[in-house]
Amino acid sequence: MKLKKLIAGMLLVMMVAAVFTGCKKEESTGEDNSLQKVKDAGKLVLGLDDSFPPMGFRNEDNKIVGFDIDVATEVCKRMGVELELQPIDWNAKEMELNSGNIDCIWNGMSIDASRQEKMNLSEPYLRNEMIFVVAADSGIETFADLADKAVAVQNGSTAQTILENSDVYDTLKEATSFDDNVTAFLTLEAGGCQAVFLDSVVAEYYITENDKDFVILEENLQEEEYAIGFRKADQKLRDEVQKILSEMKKDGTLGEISAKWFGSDITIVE
Amino acid sequence: MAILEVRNLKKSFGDTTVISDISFDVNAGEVVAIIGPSGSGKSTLLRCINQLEKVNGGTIKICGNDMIVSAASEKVKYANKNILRKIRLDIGLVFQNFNLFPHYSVLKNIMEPPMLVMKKSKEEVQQIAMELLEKMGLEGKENAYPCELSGGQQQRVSIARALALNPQILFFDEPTSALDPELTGEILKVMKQLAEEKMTMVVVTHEMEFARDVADRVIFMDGGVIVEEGAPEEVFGNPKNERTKVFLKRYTER
Amino acid sequence: MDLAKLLPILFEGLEVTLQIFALTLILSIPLGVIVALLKMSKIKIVSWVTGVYILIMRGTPLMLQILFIYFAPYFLFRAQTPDRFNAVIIAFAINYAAYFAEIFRGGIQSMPIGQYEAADALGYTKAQTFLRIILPQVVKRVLPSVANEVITLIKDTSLAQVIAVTELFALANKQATGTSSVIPLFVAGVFYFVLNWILTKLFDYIEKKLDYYK
Repeated sequence: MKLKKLIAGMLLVMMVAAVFTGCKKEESTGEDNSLQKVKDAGKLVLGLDDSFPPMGFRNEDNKIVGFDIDVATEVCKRMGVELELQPIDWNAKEMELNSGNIDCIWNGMSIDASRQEKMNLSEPYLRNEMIFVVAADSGIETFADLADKAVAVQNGSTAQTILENSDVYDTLKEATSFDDNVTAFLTLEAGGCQAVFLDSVVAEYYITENDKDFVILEENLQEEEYAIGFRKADQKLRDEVQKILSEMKKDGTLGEISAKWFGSDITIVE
Repeated sequence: MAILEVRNLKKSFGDTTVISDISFDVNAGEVVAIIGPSGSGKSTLLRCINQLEKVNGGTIKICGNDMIVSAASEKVKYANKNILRKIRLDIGLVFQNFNLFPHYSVLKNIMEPPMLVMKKSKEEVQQIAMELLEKMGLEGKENAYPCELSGGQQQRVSIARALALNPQILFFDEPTSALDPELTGEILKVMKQLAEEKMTMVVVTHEMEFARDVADRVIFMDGGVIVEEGAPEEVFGNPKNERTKVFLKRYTER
Repeated sequence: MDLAKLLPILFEGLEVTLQIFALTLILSIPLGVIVALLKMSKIKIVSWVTGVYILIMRGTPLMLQILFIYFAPYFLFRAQTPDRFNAVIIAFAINYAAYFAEIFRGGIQSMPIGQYEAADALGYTKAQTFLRIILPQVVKRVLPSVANEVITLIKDTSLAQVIAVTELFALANKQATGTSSVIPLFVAGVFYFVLNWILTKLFDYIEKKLDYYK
């Protein structure tokens, strides 16, 4: 009987472990034919969590739009391939990438150490700050004012990691994680928390779009940069995309797209 | 001619012996009543003959077919499937709790077994079923559901259901025990009528009056053996065994 | 928020939700009957293996099972990942089959032994006994529990978004994010409510229909 229970337990652990450890195994195909594969397929499959305005999200017509989408469309045009958008669950992005379901993650993804290790990242293309949004009439102006306040943050985001590693975190009453930033903002509006911690690009877009009485604290926790993530082995594909981005920066196309979404060229591609 | 031959039947549940060693015959047209105290093994005997329990030893022969081919006490070997199936269709069983199929109407309860098991045509079976219902005094109840009937009516449906398969021998397992006393009469009346039509029947019962008035032969069981056996006048009028006397005395005093 | 624009979009999501719902039921109910019978098997190893299956299905989150079905082929065998929608259907079917199996087993085991004996004495084969006598009565007995699972299933379909199958809730969520409004979520809530209201009425009706016997 004991043995039976043991076997049952092991099966269970194996099943769970297979999902999470499996992604660490690297495939050694030797030659890098990543660019050729995309060209042969005639399409670049872009993975995104299509609920991240203004980088990639669904508009009122249920079309996926955004800054990243506009840039990627232009890049693909210059590569001579179609752009295919594949919505994914953000928590499963590495698995989606490694299993070959998508060719890249291009969705306002911040650079951090673990992503640098797991993926082949492009050069940063956009700078972003991690900021706190508070109600205009809350009287909160500095980090010190956040003491004993509740802060909302998106689950699984870099914002969450940065917040949890910051000095401010220890002074907070609590940090609640939400599935998306809209829910976090709703909580702020409803008084369920006193601040939302997130990317400045998202915050500015949200506040202007909705005309809410929120303000962004001047103090920011960390500056971070967005990059495109490719599979570790796909060096040629990454380099090609990088090359085209630089060309777009030079000829002004990138600046135009940035102006459309952010009012000015805030890209940092060289 | 013996329709049923039981020889040296043994049955135990684990270490508890329920039937020690029983042999008896039932002839065509005969009505045999099996009486005895609770736990004497009479219901188990019926269940063994109806293949609801596996025996531990002995042989059973029904209408000339051997149900058990090897009687060695350690290793009882049953006949092959086809023979067991044939035997199954030669005998009918009426349960204490009726065991009607509650989701079927009265008519479907009676009609489905012959149609399904004997592949008889619907027209033929319907004819038989209506006749049986009339015989059981259940005219007009064919579309009722068992839950809408009294216990006595349900038991009459279950008798009709057993008869629809045209069995050579009909077994009753305490057919009136689950009924209110005022309803037992209608069942006994039906059984008496069947006896008059020379239906071969084996009835496990606590109804001593029925055993005395209707049965051709009475078997008194106690402690897993047949203690006394004979014509009702003998067993009831002049019991030879002490245990029979004690048992019957308890009943007649009531 | 323009409802005339929103509703057709949400109906697309509703279609996916209903597909997951219907296919799961079509597959998991017959599978559940088979699993229930295997669990009651007299062959010990069969019953034990089925028990382990039920234990895993009921003992781990459905979300994890969906991820496993979708990603396991690649990470365990370097095989092509299955179609997202198919993976969802497989995961839902085998998960719900485990729950249905336990409901059916309870129903089958609650049947009085006399029903089996009567059918046996009347010459019914085992299959005939099960299909004609036992199963129809079990259906009536398990109906309230099955209704419970079915209503839960409607709401569970939103788990499909874990492998990015955009069903009603995921779509409403994305619309809410994209348009910075809660209205899509609220409308989706109304959709779920109406669906379950219809289902509740349907089960009430079936229960009444089966009320002709006790």
